[in-house]
Amino acid sequence: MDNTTCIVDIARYFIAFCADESCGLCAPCRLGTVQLEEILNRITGGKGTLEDLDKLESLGEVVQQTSLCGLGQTAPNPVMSTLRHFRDEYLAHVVDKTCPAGVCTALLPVEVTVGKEK
Amino acid sequence: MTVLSALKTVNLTLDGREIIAHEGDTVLEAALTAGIDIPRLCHDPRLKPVGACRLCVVEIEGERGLLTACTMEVAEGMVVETETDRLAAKRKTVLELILDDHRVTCPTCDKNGDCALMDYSYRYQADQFAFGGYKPGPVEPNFATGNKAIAFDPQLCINCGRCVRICDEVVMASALTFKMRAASVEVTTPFDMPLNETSCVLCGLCITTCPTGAMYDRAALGQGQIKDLEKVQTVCPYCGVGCTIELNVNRANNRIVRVTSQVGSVPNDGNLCVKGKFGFEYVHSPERLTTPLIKENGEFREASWDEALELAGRRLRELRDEHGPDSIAFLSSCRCTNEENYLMQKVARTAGATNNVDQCATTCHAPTVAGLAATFGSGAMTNAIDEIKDVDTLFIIGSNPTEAHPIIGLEMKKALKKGAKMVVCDPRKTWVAEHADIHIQHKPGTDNMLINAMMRHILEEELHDAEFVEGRCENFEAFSKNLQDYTVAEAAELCDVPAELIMRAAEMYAAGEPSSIFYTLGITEHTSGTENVQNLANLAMLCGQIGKRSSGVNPLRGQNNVQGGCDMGAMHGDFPGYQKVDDEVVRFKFAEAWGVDIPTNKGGRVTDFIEQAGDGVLRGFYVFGEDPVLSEPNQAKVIKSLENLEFLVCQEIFMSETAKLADVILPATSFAEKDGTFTNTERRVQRVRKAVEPPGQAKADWEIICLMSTAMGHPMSYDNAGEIFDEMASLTPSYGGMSFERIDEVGLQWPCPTPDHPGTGFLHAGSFTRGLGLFHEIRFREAAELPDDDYPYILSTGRTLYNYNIGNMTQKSDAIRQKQSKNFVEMHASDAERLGVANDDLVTVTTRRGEVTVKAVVGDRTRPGALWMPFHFVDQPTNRITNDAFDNITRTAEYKVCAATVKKSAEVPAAT
Repeated sequence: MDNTTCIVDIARYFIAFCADESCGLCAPCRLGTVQLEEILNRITGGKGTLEDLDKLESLGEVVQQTSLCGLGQTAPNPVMSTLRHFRDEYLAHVVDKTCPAGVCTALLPVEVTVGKEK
Repeated sequence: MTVLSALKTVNLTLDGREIIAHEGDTVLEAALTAGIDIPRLCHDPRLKPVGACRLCVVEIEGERGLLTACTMEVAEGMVVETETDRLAAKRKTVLELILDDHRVTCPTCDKNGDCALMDYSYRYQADQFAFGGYKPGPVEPNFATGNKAIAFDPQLCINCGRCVRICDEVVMASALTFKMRAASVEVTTPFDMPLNETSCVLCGLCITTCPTGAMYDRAALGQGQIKDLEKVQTVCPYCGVGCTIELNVNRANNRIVRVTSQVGSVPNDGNLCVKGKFGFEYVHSPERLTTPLIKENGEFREASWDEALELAGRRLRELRDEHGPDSIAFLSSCRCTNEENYLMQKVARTAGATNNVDQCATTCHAPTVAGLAATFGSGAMTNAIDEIKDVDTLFIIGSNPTEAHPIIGLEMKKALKKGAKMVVCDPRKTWVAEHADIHIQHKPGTDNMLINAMMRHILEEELHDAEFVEGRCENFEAFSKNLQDYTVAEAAELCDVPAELIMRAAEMYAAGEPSSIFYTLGITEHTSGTENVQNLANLAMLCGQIGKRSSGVNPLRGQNNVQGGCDMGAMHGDFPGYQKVDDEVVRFKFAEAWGVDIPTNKGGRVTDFIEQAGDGVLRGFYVFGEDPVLSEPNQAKVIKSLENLEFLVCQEIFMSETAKLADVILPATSFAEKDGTFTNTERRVQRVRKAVEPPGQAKADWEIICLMSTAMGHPMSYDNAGEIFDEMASLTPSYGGMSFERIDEVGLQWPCPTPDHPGTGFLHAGSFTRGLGLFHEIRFREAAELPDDDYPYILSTGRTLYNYNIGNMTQKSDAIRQKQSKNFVEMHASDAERLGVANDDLVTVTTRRGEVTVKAVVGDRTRPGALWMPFHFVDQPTNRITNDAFDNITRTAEYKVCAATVKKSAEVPAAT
């Protein structure tokens, strides 16, 4: 991972993986991971809000603390640790509507190419 | 909770309160006992805790993180907080997650007001839009689409898994499962099969455990939310288990909407079977009789009560006066209350001045009453239903509990899950047979050969309880001498089972700590029925497997109140409480109480009545709540005999086959329309409560019986059922300590002789009711009609799970009819192949008495050479062909063995 990696997208990737791998037995893991994924989808899609960041933290904590097994209890870890250590990247997505790593396509500057049609 | 752990306690602190809990309890159980309501959605005390919903998380001092109260066991000194701000916040979020996955339809949801999700959402003020809100997709058909019993709405399902677990753990049907994983997880059946094609037994426990409205009674949809419904606690009208049920009544239209049952109810713990759950529609059937009817020129016309009663009363009395006490007879009804059975025998002996009174026990369990009374002094189930789960070796013979007594079947399943061993002796592969350690699939009618051989083996191997035999029993010498004529080798040959199995079964029964015998009509409905019962009693005494908790001889009674019907003395030789009519002291007591001379004629049984009607001896017959035309053997002869009567009066809720022959029909009430008591198979006297008004002019049966008595010239009146009960209790020592007040909630088990007596769970502790247990020398006798060249098959009849008795109640239920509405015959695949019969082909089953044409169910449930048929159906009725040969003592018919032949029918099966 380097500065071409979007940390929000990484968090989204991990939570999507866990949401898919959840066995579905306990409610916080089955449903909470999906909601975390949706919030991150919103953020990487350029539709995130500051409230979403609070929601990620509070929901992440619930999923960590109330899930039945290790999968749910650790599923939010990438989200929670990146929020703590790379909050500026989240803010860039939410406030500035940019993806510093240039990964989240919805947040890339629009390039207008002018040229002859072939 | 076992008795053992009840002795050990643990001290802990819950929300600052010092609590004493039982060792082994969970924190949730301790909290609920202490009145602390920890929220939970996936918990049902009948199920193993799974910790799926996570709502019951609590804080425990010294533990890292939050722990679920439902899975955490209490420990000494534990300090628990169940309701903190932190917990409330977490629970709120979990609820909001669930609400986002649940279509919130509260205004139109049938579960509104009775929904755990709704209650907790309110308690924690969960916002259904916290995560955006549920986005409904298209409604797809599911496994329950089209099912008339159970409806399933996946949009309301919160995937708590209770339905799947109860189907698996309690019912052991495993008809429900989860498909997919993660957020796509969904309750369904294996391979999404339609419910009625799976192993589902339609018990509806999935509905009763569902915390939301996802699983619901199909017929109750839109018929009223909890605010519209009044729950009336009463007793199920099917089978002798006596499940406590609640009729959910919508007062706006005087209709029962659905049936529920509370966890913790006695004896069923909230569990029901298909009949109890879905079999109540008959109460509101348009076929109910609503006015008295009088037959004129072969046609019924409506009549007033006064006219019908005057005619019926006068004619019975005239026949009695003219032709003596044996010219009229009274058939009481074990589907009706104790009060009504008490009155029926009282009317017979007062207004009727005859001992000609009987009830359906003659058709089924009279050999039990006679056989066990002769052996132990008391003819009833020796143990309580809640003792079954602690039996070590279940010895089940001639009984199909998971179908005929499903809730007792569930108790047996509990025992199996605890590691019990099971011996099943049954010619048919029933559920218990398939799950038994030993299944002895003996030839129908060879029970005494089998039991004698087992006892001989036990004696030879000295596996018997010599101390018990010596100290508690008599006539052992003659009994053991008799066994010398029976060997295991001979039994193996005659019963057609491996000798090894007979020996192993005997050893397993003798060794159980404890063992208990369970039997039903496979034992009693034989010409040797009473002897069969006595031989099972011999077996129990020989091994000392009686007179203690979870150990004894347990007849599972058939009709809801057949125990009560017998207890109430609706029998020719007995007054209430089995006080003998030929005992001068007893006769004097009743003569004093009733103010009449007690008749001295011997009286007979229903099977006698029918024969005597045919012979012209019996002239007047008062049939109450029974349909002998369908329930007695050799139907053509029964009809001919009843047609020979000079006067027949039927007290009925439907135009039964017998009622069609009547001169007067009196419209009666169902169990839901009157007050009273039933006595279940474990001798528990339970309150039956009026829930709805009867249709038309129908009257409560006890009122009709009083009116009939008055019309016969012996005025009788009571203000209510409780007054009748009190009179009965004052004359019946075993019921002496009971009153409506005392039996209000859970009932009492007789004997209960005094007002401070707690009732009796198991009988014969220390000594038998008659003092010493009496060993009988039982000889093996062949059945009355054995197969021969013309009729090479053995036909047995019995009950199915879905129907009850003659089917006139169960067949009114759409849900039940959808599952089973037509008669059939089970036959072995090898016989079918030889006859060129395929599954579902129409076949004609013929005996010396007639023939019926029914569908063949081909498989391996019966033995080769054996046929099995239910007797629930009016169309092609099985009792057209059964044998009217009777037990030598109780005149119970041999429904379990007759010779028959079967061939493929030329008829084309009707589309179903």
